[in-house]
Amino acid sequence: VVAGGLANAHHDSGEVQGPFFEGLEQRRDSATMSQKPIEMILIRQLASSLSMPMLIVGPDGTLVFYNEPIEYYLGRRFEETGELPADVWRTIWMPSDENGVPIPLEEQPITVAFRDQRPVHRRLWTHKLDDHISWLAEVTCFPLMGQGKRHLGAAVIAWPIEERRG
Amino acid sequence: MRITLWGTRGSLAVPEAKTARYGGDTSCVEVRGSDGTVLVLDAGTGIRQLNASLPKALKRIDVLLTHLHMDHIQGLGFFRPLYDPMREVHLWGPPSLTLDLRTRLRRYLSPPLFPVYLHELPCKLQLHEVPGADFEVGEFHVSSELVCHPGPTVGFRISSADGTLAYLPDHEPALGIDFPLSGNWTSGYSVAADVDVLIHDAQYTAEEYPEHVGWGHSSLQHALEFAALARVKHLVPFHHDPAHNDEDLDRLMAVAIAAAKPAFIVIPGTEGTTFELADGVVQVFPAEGGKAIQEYNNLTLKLVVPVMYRLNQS
Repeated sequence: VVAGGLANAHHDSGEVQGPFFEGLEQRRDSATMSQKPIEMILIRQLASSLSMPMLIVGPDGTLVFYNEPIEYYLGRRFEETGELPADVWRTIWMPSDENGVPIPLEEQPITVAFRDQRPVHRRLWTHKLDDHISWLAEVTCFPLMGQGKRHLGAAVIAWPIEERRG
Repeated sequence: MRITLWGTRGSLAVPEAKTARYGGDTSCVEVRGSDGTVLVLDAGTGIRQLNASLPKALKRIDVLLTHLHMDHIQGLGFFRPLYDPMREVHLWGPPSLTLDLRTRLRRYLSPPLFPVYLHELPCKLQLHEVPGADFEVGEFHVSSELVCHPGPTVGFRISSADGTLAYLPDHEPALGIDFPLSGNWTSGYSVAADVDVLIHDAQYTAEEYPEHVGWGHSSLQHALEFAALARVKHLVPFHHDPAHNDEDLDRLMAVAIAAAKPAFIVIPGTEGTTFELADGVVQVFPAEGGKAIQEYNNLTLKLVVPVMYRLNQS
């Protein structure tokens, strides 16, 4: 809280007294209601409307939303599971490269997009561990950077190519 | 906290006899504190009427702009305090991702759109960008949050010892979802949750909304659902469509309220209406010729808070 209303003030001379969005995180943290940032709400709305499999990861790695097209590949329905912690959703699949070599966690596209805050595109296999179904897919991961350059998480869009069972 | 609706129309001013009761001026709401502090919410054409009610001794005025669409800033150039060198005027509004608030406001306050440049205004002018840290003006605590509407747009939440007001005049929380979702996935929820009075966009009918998806506005039904989700005590539907005249709006309000059966009081936003908010209780003073609040809400028999109602004789 900034007394006197001088937060982020510009005088008519053009001098900037404070940066945009100064205190935004403090304000969000102190809020009594846990509404998602508007950027996350909007990308969920977009994901809900797309026919491409898509999931959204929050700033702490929680899978905060996945759309209907990706429910088939997860074997779960968002309406039933709600948000999934990282240690749950990241053990549903085991990714490997096109030759079947497992991709270490630190090299997986979502990890790189999240950690390095840059987009990653890769063709890979995902092996669903609980029913042994595998998919070859093109996967695009990109970081979600909100206004004020806030790191809000990452999004993943998949383009499935081939399915194998057993 | 005294709240006066000086402009309730959305998109375009419609100064016609058939719109006189709900009002033809675009968005402008005055919030006055018991200590004399004045906040002006948006600077639509309704701000012209506000000019006459401002105390001459008032030294500081804060204008809070939700966004810079024309119906929310068109009256700015006609706001008299901006031309008074003795007045301190604070303009709060959102920058874009590439332009600061000053640059964005200059687009309007410069020829050919307006004859006076922003830098020529003689008042003591300060610009502040929102959303940012919460701030205090006099007795008011103000917070802001980006909301779902094309371009940078915020909603304001204003609190004092008297109660809490939320102002979301342009807001489309239903965009692209099976509305309503839970509060934490709903645009504007943190602005509106548990407020005493919510002034909210209700531009369209349910039938009109599908033709305007993505335009940044709500249907009256969405406003009612949003208000229920946020557990507000009073809803003021606002930002009426220019195509809806008084008769239309009376009918639309009555039908929507009867269907929704809200557990809160709906006070249709009519120009000139004043609310006195004290200790969480709202007194409503409709403008002369305004309809009694009970006329709408008796349809539902769901009055959960006694509304003290009388015609404003002042």
